[in-house]
Amino acid sequence: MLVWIVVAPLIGVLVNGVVFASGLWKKLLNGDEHTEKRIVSFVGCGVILASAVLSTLAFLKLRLTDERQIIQELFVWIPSGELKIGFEFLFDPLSCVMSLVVTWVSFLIHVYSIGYMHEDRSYSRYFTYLNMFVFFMLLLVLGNNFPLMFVGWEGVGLASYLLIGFWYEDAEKAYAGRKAFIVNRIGDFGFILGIFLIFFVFGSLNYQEVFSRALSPEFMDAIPQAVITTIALLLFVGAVGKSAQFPLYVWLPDAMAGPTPVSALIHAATMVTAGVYMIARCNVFYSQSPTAQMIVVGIATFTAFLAATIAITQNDIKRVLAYSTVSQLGYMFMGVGSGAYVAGMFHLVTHAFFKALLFLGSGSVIHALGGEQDIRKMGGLRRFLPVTSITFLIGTLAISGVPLFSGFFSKDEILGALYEKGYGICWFIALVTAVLTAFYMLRLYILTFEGKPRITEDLKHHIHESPPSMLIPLVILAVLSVAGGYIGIPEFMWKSIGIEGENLFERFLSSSILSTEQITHHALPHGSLTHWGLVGLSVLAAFVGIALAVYMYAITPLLPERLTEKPIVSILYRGSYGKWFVDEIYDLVFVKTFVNLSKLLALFDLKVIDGAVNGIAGAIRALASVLRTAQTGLLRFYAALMAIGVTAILVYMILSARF
Amino acid sequence: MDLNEVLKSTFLITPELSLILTGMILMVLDPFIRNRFKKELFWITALGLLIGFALNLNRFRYTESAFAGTLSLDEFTAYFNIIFIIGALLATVISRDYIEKTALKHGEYYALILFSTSGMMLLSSAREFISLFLCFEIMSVSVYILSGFNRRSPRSVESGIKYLVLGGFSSAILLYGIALIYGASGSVFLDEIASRFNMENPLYIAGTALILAGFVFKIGAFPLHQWIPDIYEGAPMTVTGFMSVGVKAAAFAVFLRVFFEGFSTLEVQWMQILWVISVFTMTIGNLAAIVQRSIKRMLAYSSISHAGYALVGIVASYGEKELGLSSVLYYLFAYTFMNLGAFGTLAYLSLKDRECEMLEDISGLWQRKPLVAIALGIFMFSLAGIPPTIGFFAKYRVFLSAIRAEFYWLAIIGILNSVLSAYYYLRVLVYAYMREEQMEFPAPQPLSAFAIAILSLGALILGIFPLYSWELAIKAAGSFIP
Amino acid sequence: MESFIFYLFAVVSIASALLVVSHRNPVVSALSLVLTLFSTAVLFILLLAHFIAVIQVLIYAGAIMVLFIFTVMFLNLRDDALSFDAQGMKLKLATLFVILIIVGYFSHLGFKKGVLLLSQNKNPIPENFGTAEAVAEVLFRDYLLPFELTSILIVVAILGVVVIAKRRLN
Repeated sequence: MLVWIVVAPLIGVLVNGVVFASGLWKKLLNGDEHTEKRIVSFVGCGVILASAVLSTLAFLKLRLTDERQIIQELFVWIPSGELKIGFEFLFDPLSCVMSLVVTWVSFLIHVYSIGYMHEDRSYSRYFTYLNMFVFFMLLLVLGNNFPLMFVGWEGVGLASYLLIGFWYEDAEKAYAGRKAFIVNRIGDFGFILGIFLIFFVFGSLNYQEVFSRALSPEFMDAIPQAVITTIALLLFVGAVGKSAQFPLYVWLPDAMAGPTPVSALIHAATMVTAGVYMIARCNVFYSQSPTAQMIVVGIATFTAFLAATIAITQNDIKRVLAYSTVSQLGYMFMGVGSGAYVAGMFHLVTHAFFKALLFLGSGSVIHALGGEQDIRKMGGLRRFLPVTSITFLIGTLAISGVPLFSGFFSKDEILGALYEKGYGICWFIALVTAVLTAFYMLRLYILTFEGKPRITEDLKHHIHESPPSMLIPLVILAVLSVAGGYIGIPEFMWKSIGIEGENLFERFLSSSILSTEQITHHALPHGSLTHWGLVGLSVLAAFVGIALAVYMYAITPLLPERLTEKPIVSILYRGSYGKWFVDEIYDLVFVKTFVNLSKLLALFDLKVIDGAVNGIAGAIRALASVLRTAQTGLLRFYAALMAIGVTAILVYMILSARF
Repeated sequence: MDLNEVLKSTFLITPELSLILTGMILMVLDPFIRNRFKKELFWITALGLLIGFALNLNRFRYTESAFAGTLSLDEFTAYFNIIFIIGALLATVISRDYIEKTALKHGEYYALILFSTSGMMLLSSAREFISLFLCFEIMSVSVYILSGFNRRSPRSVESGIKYLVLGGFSSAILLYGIALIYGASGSVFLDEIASRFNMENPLYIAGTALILAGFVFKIGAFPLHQWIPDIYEGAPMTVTGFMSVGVKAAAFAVFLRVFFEGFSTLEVQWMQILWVISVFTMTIGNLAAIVQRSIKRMLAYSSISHAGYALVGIVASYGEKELGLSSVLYYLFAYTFMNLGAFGTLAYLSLKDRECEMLEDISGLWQRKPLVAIALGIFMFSLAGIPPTIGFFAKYRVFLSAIRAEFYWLAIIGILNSVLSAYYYLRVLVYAYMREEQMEFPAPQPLSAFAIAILSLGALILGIFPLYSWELAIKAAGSFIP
Repeated sequence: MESFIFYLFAVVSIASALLVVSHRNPVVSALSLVLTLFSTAVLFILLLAHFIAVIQVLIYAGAIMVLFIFTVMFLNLRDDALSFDAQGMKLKLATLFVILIIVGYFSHLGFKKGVLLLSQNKNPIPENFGTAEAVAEVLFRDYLLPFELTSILIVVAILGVVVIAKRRLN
């Protein structure tokens, strides 16, 4: 069964790719475009639905039976001596959560894409790539060893590259694709080194074998702590690339060049969370290395804060969301980095819902406005797009952490974990980031949907709510954004209202978290008063942010502009608006250096190497004044070089054999 | 050797004989066939190769020695013969359309391919220096002629002559080495040479060095690699494809047999040299490939660097005999698919008067011929060693064995080189996929398309499921390890 | 006496071989090649390989070289076509010189111990060594396969000649 979850999207790729995207249908079978689009949509969404249903069935099997994991071994993929890499799938609670999220959210976004991409002439190519992405993502999630995860990891990178540069005629978009690809390569380099090191240390790449060895004390006693830290950090380098953490986050905002559903699926809900999944999967390593944990949490906190400060001034609707994604990913890494793997995964799930919702909502807006992405040219859209605006508001409240919405529960758990693990400063920064989050999200909502319309009169007549195929996913995701949090209500909250409940999500996931360091934060010695205190603080943070945004943008709309004229604020504003000039710094430090270096090399090539070659050729030509053609000269030259080569081999051999 | 032995041995080499006989039949038939039917001679060629292939499969079941120890017919031979025949067969299929397009001669072309292939096949089994040298020459001379086969093109003729002269030079060096070894040991059989090998006698050492140089030339490795770009560039496209996989694999086969069986006493020394050679070969090939604007010339340089990667496997076998050797064998197998595929695709896209060789010549391929573009993509990915292609797996094996054998620097240099190589392979795809200019492309050629499809699917499917072919390589290496 | 003849003809063969590649007149080159082949034939005789020596003279120095010289004369190349760059020779000779130094060094090493080794090899020479009968015995019995392979090689060479010499059709 497991194999079909993965294979179903592949079937979609093959059908859509070979029959339609290749042009076979149009050119050889003379099929018309309308039928093509219908078949492509049907196949594209159908296979994802199949895989979603199958994942659900597998989930039920896991829930209803005592099995802690299902392993399906297909065949030995790479055998060589002691290294045996099987093509096998693992379905344990962790991959179950991931595959449910991936398949269902993908399905909704596929359905949404039918409406969104309807006018595009590369419709079938789009669905082929999208199916391909889901295939690789499921391979990443369900693979039972590191090489399979790596194949998926690279595969989703490829799909993401293809989709970011989907409209490759636009040079800037093609460039964004390349940027994403190259930045990801840097991360992947660390990741593959980490895999090598795992194999080197543990002699296997299979999850069960590696983790059971990593858990056995006698095995670990022989290994220096630094080795485990190195493994953890190398893997984290991979995660930093894929999940857009500082300093490799720069590709994600640019990745918004792709179609909006792609941003929703790949660059918000699923692919970018692969790093979080990977760390949760490798929890055994992280729990044994406090150094690595500290670095992960540190980088995550810094990323979350940095991205939030950038998001508050951006004017492109998708860019705000992109930076907010980077920031929220930071939260997830704070969770998994501080050892609260369940909390991190929980935030991953809820974030998948509300961020997909926000992106799809923004897509609906962009669609309605004919491609406009600047929020300064929006405003008052609630009147025109009622469904979109309500669902968008729900998403906004969820991400801001307003109580009873899903984001509240998950974010709160991460903040609680940070506090308990003693990351006091990080906790505080995360709290400030929560204020900023609520602020910029509300700002985004208000500027887009409230106030006076700032759109042109001409546009006003054309503006229309999106088709049902786009709205239904929005509504479903809105429901999930609200209700999604209830799967993980912490124990103390149940107790406070007098019910003997427990954290369902945590209990479900617990068998996947192998590390001995259990998540203990609901067993705080201070009792539930501290808990409620922490909750109160984060609720306060959310409302402060919301209130600030409402005050600045709804009540006194002229205030922000006046504020930016004040000296200190203006510097900060310009810094934030310019994204703290990170791109420019990178450009200066890395890109320019490389370009100059390669120019130097090219010059070297041109002057020295070519010069030498030309010089030799010229010298020979000059020497051989009556030479008939250059060819014969070169021939002799080659023969001479070969003679020297043979002599070198001969000399080396004699020297090494005789002395 | 009595009559019985001769008869028995003759039966044992039926795969090779079937190729030689088919070649003879072609030569006899050729003058009697009208010009416009001559292209159908292809079918006879294909039949001969297929019979040879089928008969060769039998060899996986036994290890025999023929002609009083002159030939050793084992799984090693069988494995390499599969590479040669697959290479020759697919090259022939693509050649049929190519020859038709460029108005060359069918009959002699096919006969030469067959003779050359039979030379390679015998070469992979030869354990005696006289036969070995003769097979070497049968293979080489055929390829010299094939390189200059397009007499209308000055570049092709030039390539043929250059190849002849430089190849002759290298053969002379090889022969000199053989003579020294014979002078020292009094035998031309590898096993006897191995048992009499004496480190104290300088003749052995000089002989080994010269034989090494002779093989290094044919492999196309540093420091005897200079001929490759010119000759690969000048030769007709299909011939380049054929010789880049066949001749190279054959040279590796004979190299492995001679050095591991005959000169293992001196292993430490020639392994050291090979280490240096492989590092330089990989690096020089790659560096030169980067600056090329001609795909054909770029592939020529890249074939130098691929020889370097395969040599890494040989060096690794110093510590990890089985793993190292099988990785070399597998690399050559993989290389057959990807390189022949790349040259085949270019041959497919060539026009009568213009070979498809510059980067600009494939601009807009994706728009005009998407399936060919996909195939080209697979080959380039494979050559660059990007998963899930066969090229990735082959490189992975080679570098893994180097790491296992604790040649860390070699593995690191190899991996860095392979990263570097992605640049120029992917640049080809940039032109094929992202450029809009509409170049003129030839009409579809079903047979060639079929061959390219097989190659690309092979490169992809064997990359995803490498198990079976990998086991074959292990078996072949196992049969050969003394 | 034997070693005197050996050194004499060895030097003659090397010197004439150098002349083959360095002389500007192809006829002289071809004739020098004849001389080289003759001197090697003498060396064969010194090794008691009479049959091979005779074959060498008959086929190489006789038939093939005559063909060469005829071809060169038929081509009737003018002087400027034959002009040869004397300066290019320097590079070549320098290379040769380097190789010779290396080979000299190696033979120096070789003679220290190699002579000892060679003198140990005292297999008695068979009665009919070097006769046509003995050569045939070995050639058609022990080295049957190489013999047959030679025929294939010749077929390939003939094919090559056909390809090169065939009159152009278009």
